[in-house]
Amino acid sequence: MNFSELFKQTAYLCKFSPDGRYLANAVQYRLIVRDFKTLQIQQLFTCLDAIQHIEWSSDSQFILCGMYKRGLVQVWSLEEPEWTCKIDEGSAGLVDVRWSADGRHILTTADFHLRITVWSLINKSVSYIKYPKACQKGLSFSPDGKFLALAERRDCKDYISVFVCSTWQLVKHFEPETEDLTGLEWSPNGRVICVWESCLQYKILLYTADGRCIDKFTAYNMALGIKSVAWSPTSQFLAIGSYDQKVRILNHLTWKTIVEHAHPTILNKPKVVIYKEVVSKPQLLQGETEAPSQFMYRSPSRYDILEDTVQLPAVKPDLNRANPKMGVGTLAFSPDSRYIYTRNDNMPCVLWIWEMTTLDLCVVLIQDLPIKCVGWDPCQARLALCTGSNKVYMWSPAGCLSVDVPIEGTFNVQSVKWSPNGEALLLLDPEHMAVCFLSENEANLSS
Amino acid sequence: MDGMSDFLVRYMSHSDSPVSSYRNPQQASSLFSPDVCDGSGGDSFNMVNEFNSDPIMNGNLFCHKKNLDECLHHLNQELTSIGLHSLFKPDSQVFDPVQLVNCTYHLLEQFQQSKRVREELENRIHLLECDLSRCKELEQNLSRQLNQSQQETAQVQERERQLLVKNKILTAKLKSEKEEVRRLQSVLQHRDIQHKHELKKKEREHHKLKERLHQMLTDKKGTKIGMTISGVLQRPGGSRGTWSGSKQEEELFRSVVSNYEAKTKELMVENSGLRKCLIDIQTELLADNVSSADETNLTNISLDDLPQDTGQGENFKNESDSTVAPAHCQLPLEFLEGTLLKSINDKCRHLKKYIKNLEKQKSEGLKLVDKKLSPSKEDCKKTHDIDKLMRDVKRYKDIIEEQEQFIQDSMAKKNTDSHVSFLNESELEEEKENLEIQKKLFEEQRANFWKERNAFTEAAIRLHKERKVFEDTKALFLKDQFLQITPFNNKSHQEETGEQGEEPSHVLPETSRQSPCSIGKQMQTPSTGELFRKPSSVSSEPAMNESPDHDQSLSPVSEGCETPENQKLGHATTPTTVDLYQFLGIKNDKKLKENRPKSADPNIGVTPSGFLSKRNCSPSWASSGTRRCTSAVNHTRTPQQRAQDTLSQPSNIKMLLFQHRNRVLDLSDGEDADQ
Repeated sequence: MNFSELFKQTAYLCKFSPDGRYLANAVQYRLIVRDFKTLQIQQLFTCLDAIQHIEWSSDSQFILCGMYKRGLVQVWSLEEPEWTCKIDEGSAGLVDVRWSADGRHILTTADFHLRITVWSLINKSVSYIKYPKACQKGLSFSPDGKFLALAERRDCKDYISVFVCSTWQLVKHFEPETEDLTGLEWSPNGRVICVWESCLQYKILLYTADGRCIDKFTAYNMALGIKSVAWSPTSQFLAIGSYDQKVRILNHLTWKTIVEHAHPTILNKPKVVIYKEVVSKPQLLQGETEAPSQFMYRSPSRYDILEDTVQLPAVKPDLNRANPKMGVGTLAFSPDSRYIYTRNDNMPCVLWIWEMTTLDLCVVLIQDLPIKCVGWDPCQARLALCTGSNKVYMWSPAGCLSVDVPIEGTFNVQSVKWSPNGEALLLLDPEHMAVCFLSENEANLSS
Repeated sequence: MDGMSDFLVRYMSHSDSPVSSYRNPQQASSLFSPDVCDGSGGDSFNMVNEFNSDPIMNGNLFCHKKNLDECLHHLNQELTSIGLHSLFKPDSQVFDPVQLVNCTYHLLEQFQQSKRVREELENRIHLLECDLSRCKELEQNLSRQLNQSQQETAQVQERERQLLVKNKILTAKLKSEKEEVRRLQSVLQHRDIQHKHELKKKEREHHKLKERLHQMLTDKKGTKIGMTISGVLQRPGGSRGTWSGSKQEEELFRSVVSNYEAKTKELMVENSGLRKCLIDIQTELLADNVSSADETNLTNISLDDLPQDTGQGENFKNESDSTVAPAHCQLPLEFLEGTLLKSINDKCRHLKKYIKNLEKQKSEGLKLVDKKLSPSKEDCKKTHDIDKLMRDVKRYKDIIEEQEQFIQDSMAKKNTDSHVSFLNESELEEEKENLEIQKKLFEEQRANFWKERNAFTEAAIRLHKERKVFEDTKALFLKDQFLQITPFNNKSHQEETGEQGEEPSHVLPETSRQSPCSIGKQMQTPSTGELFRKPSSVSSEPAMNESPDHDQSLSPVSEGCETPENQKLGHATTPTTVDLYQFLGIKNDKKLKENRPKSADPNIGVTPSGFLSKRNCSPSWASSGTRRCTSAVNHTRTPQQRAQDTLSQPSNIKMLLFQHRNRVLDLSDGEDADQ
């Protein structure tokens, strides 16, 4: 593991280009593009206002910067630094901006989800899509980038519109059987659109692109329902995390539940490996009233393997408040679909890793602090996580490790991002970022 | 009793009428009822007391001297009135004391009777009183119980009433609760509807506002809104945009169709995999099932209930099905469902049963299973043999130790205890004498046998000579015939046939040599003996199976004479020292090693008469215990072998002869050893 020096960044706006060659980050109103290998500044673009959003185009040639306050979008080209493009939504306002799958169109969402405007960089044409639904994930491109599925709301009813991305023409418009649709997503093989209901009701629906309902699934009624949904990269499994602290995994042929994983507070499974992070705190010296801060002392941590029955740390959620902190809120499949990690929100320090071949719990990581961010290596079954401390943690089937980020001063890792080739890890502090390079050999050694 | 007699005497003395009195008080007493008189003195005293207590006796007398007659009359009247004979003679109206006595006796009897009756009645009354009291008690008890139960019932009734009241209250509550729930539900629904309505209203408003905003935005066109771009871009990949709008839907449907096709393909692959799996299961199960059926037949496990029988019938039906199963399995599932799944289910059931059976067998007898499971019987046998041998070795070692101990003991005894040795000497003397006699007898027999043997050898030699002469003549004759009859090319053929003709005399013994014991059988059950024999089995075998012909044709070897000895060895129940030496490898006597297996071979047609006769004719040995006997034999074994070796001359003596000779030898040797 090699760590780069610290770079400044704001609002966690750091992104790898899809081809993995560049790393873009925003500092206030400046956009800095670095060559990833050398971390030398390749380009430096100055925007009109503080950047609130950046996104690479799919071909890694352009970057858009969203300045929501001003309702402005600026697009920069890496190949032609002189080329400029500015989109002004003006009084309509701006809440969201994104690239289309082809990287030649920009979709901006106006304030109040009034409309989505499609700006073509090819012929300057502008298309409007009215009535987009303001929801968790109302917009999804098909994996091949040909179609866009969009959730709409008209006449107090949900609709799904399918657009052809080449001309932005509506090709299909259908009404799903939802009361209040909250998200939709194409399967990675592009055959199915998964649609799920708001948390008031547990309901998941599967549609083909032409609007035929393939199957519906409801696990229970009269309780808070779905919290998170994830497709496996092979499209063979659909994992649904819900407020009842369970993950249900459906198969892609019969759409029946394969397995239902509960997240109990007491673990008593002999086959499960339980790693617990143990932080050795510095002893108080005479006259000291509190332990030295991180500036002075870095408390190392290690993983212990627990055996027998383990009581997992859990917090009791306040059920009288909206959006209670309970249930499976984070889950994702590993790139080879062999593993799935979940985080039950009322056990924020615990990460559960389930194996898909045995359909059983495989590993449990008990962290000292609540987990902030987890990410799978895009190339192999390996994940990195951070808990807002100065450490980064990694797990692979071979083992678990915790690494102190060797940087002077405070560096509390709030977010981790993998480079597209899985060779490096981007660590984000609220104000800084650092790159952690993992060469193959070292990766093997660490495991 | 005395009182009574006194009373009579007194009466008699006072009476004026001629009364014949009983002088003897004994007699008088005997007149009274035996019940009263035979009792003890106490009884009679009671009587007297009664008499004394009678008002007649105490002052106010009924009768006294003056009114005796009146009294008599009165009595007479009274008596007649109660149906007794009158006291007076019927014709003379004279007082008859006999009558009086009779009457009195009658009266007494009646009195006794009535007394008994009275006692009985009293008893009965007593009993009844007892019963009554018990009944009363019972009644009291019952009444108490009744009271109690009544109380309880009352309590229960009260409780029931209370509960009923409570129940009523609760049902009322429930009802009200239900109503409340219903009300609340309706309220909730109401609110929900209202909420939804409000939501819709809001949403519509929202929508309207959005529309308005939209309108305003479009109206306000111009100014800043829009895109400023320094140059248009190429499409990614350089392709141009297409204009045909109708094709877009086509594209969608194409993608949908292709998705479906891909999915169908996937499903086909999955389906074919599953079908293959089904076929595999079918075939596997069938194979298992057949074997299981065989096994069940073999082991005769009697679980053949009716359902199983029918199941087996189906299996046999299915066997024919399964021959075409791979093709059948390509049928749609609905066709397969009936037959295939049923058959598979049946098979599974069978398999389960079979497994259960197996488990049963395991628990019942491990041996059966072992036999079944053992890969090769020979290996098992070998290990078994080795085990046996090890056990034997141990046993024999123990025996040797014991024997040595015994010998030591006996030696010590001889040395120390002169008395015992003296006794032993006498025994030995006796034995010696016996043996002497027997020896003489056997010497005689031996001489006889020698004579016989010589005669036989002579006869055999003669026969041999004659045979040779005959062969010669035969050869000559054949030669002549051959020379006379055949042309030249037939000559060789004739010679061959001639040779073949001569052959049987040589071939016959060869075949006979092998016939008695089938080699295959031996191979199947290799005994310890065979293991030992293997190196020299061929050389020793001919001697085993000799026939008279064979002895004559081949140069006779007298090894056959060892067979009785071998037999003896084989049949000895207690192991001999020779055996022990063999096992322990102490003494490497090749002859013995060769001999032993022969004796173990059951195919030898020689009876162990020598051994048995020896046992029978030596009672002294038998009495001294088998160990001693065997030890005696043990010591003689090797010299005897040597003697046999020296004796092995050309001989064609029959089996009987050998047996006799051996018997003689054994005994003589044994005697030597004893001496």
